[in-house]
Amino acid sequence: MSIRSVTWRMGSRPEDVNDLHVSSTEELREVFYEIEREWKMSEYYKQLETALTAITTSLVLDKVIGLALGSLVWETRVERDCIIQHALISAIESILLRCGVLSSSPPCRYVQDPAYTQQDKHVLCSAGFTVLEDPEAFLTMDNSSVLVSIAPNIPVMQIVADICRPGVLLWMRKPESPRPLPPATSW
Amino acid sequence: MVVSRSRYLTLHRTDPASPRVDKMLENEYYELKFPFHESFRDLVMYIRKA
Repeated sequence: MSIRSVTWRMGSRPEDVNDLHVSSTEELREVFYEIEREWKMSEYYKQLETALTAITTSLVLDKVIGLALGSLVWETRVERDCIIQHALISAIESILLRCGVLSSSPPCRYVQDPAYTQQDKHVLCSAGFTVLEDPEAFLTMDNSSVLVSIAPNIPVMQIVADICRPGVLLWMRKPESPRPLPPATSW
Repeated sequence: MVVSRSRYLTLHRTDPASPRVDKMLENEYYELKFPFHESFRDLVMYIRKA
């Protein structure tokens, strides 16, 4: 399959969006870069820049850590959402470096997910990520971190609350608290 | 400790908030809007207060 088969655009999800397959590391690398490139040209990316440049803080941070962003491929099928989540890490690093919220050195993009295959690791490393093995992400995390955690299968919020205070937290919005039950009525 | 993804973004079963997390966020962070995207759904951004 050629990279040119990626004909869909951000914001539209045709039926075959999940039918993108790769058979080699090189193909995956090309797909990864193509999806990231398209995403960075999307209207969403402009919204992301606006959101991140709204950060007004005296904090100076030095790393972005992505947890549980998933494998880039399920068997041979490209996981588009997971690739975009990794692209989000790169975008955050790039935009926050430009804003001065992140310091410029050392290189500071970390990701950890035990689902990564060797193929994933090769592609991610070539894209500038440092792939951490469990439990290095929690050991690396500190008050100078930007943490991105999307749908993990462990209680990341609880662990973070116990170990440090990252400068920026980006995780899923919790659901509204359920309404309290009315007082019991005695009969 | 193994951290991986919940396959269908069913976060709140595996990474629930708690009074301890709520207290940390309310006392030590402020919230900024983060745009919704179909690939990572409804994220929220917290910035630590200086």
